[in-house]
Amino acid sequence: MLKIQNLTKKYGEKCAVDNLTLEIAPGEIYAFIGHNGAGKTTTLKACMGILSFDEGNIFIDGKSVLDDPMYTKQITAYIPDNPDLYDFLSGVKYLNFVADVFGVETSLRNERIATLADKFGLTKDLAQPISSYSHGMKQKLAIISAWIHSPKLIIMDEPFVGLDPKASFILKEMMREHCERGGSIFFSTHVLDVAEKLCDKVAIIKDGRLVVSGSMDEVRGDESLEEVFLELLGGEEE
Amino acid sequence: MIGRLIAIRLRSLVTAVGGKRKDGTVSRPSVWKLLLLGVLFLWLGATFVGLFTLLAIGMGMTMLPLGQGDMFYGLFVIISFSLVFILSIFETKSELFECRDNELLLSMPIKPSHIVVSRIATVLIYNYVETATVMVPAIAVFAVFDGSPLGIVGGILAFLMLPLFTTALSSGVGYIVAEIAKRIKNKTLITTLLSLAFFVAYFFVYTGLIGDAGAMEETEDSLAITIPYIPAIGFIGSVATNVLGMLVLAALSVGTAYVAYRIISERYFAITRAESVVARREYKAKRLVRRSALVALTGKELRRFFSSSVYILNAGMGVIFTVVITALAVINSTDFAYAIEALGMPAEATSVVFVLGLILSSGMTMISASALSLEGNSLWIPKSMPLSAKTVLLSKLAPHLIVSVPVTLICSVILMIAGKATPLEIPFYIITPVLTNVMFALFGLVMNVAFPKFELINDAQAVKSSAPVFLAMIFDIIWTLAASGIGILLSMFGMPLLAHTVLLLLTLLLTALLALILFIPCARKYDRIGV
Repeated sequence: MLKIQNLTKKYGEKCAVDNLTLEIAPGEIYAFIGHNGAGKTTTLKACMGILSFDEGNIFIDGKSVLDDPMYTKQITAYIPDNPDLYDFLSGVKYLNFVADVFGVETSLRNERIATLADKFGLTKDLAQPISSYSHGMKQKLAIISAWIHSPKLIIMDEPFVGLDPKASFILKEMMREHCERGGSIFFSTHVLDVAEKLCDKVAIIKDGRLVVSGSMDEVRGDESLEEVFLELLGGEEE
Repeated sequence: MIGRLIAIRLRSLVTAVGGKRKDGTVSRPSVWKLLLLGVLFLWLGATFVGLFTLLAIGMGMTMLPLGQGDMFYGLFVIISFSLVFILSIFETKSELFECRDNELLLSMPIKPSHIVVSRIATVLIYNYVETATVMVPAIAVFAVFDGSPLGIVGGILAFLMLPLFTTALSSGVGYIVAEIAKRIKNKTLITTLLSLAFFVAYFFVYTGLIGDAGAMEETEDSLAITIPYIPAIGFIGSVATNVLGMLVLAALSVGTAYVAYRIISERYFAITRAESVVARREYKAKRLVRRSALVALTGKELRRFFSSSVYILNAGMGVIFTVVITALAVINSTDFAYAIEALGMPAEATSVVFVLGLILSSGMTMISASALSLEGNSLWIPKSMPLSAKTVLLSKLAPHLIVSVPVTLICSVILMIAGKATPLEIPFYIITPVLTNVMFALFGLVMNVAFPKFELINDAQAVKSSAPVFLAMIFDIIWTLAASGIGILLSMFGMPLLAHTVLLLLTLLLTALLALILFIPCARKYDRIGV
């Protein structure tokens, strides 16, 4: 579903991502972990085609994000680390806007908005302007908007930040259901417990270079993911 | 601490002309970009200084030899105050109370009063520059035609004190609007209406004064009879010509600034941290209907425009001016006819003058020039969606046209009737002003794509103080002047229809060129902008 081939991204002299290669198959939940500034967000943005890169290529469903960005974006959803949404819209207007852009049928959008908003307990706040939302509410809205067009691939940057325990649980459930239906998820996180319990595969990145990747069992061995992470990165995690 | 806060604000002003590199990182403005903007600023400054110098020479030659230094300075103090006040009034509230780093600064051990001073410092700097364009020529002319040392010192003192006074007053108005807006439900509408009310009140007083000032040179003897507040103008001017007046001005300026500073500092936390008074409406599910991506994007852009009083007041004033200019033209249509005859133009030139009026007012609408920058931190949304650059850019163009074109069209028809247009003139009345709106909208957006600024401290930074808005404003001024030159010149030679034709063809040509630039190189540039 997602294939990152020799991705290199430089900011001036600094190499943010160095020759990164990863592959995520349909039905997989893939965790992307690393210390702050390791290159996780840069990689995720490059996958979405919202940040240019210097070398390599990225394929989504067999199509390059460089050559066919409209197709790759149509089947992908993205949630950034900080959900800066349109504050001047109400929650429901924002969701309707996203549904319009992704061409979601009228009946489907009504049903999905009702179901997802209800799941996250956001229904009664949908008429409020987003400017009045808390960080967690904005994050919930961003999650609903990501699921509204039923994408094949969902890319998320720190999706659990700001969510209450119930919402975190619901998100994990949704992630599992999405993958059971053949979809894929690629997300970065610092919550190693969640990554360990939820993910099929994991990649650890340090200073832009891939340190290790593979199935959770392969990477972790007999240790916990936290122990492996600290060993590999030398306790640099803040 | 105040120094550091002011330095941060000034740095953000400099970076306002910066943009993003292809890879999405923030760039410092290049030397060339700074140089180009510097030259444009100087040109604009020189134009205004030149205009005010001519005005000062005209008035100074008449008044100063007659010992009317009070009146001379009085008029320039009023002009300077009016100009600076109107330029800063819409910005001050936003600058004071709507900065995005309010929460951050208030969470730090920084006194609100220090934040207030740092916020207002930027407005004060602008005000000093604007005051200088009016007062420096006046002082120079006074020095040449009168030469009294006391008057020169007084003029300099007035120049130093006036921005303080003006900034304090505009801050006061901003504060009153913010206090009222805090207590009401529809903040945008009320803030816009209140600001417009202040503006209209100002406009009536100002136009009355300027009209009377024009009469001053001609009917000096009857001044006291026809203009009852002439002594007041003389009194205002005395702030620059006698010691007591100077002391009054200094005390008034410093005193007003201090009172404004104290009140706003006291209330700063309460206003910026005010909870919304809007009762939480519970969502009642309604059937949501599918729209095309372009319609959805345009709807979103329109909502952004109509939900921001800063955006409406700074970028949408052209629409109000269009209505005002039309009303004035209809009311004074007989005077227009006389003026046109006096200039040696045929009666048919009325249509050219009316169309030029609509071109002038269209240039005051700047909605598209900040439309892309206002995406700010939300740029990831359109960039991560399956949207072509053309669709996004069209949606950024649409609000400018949706807001300005219908009003222009209605005003064109009204002027057409008032000007008793011939069948041959009708297409020009309709097409040229509308096309001019399209051209100005295209130019603004082209500039915004060329110089986007996404790291915004508040909306006013994009809407008022950014490079694209400045460049669009200059283009609109140049175009209006060029169109006026062509239109009036050809009309004076008895060829108003040719004037219409040339204006229309030039507008058409440039509009087509700008459309090409927007949808080819600018669309590519948009695609390259990283998040």
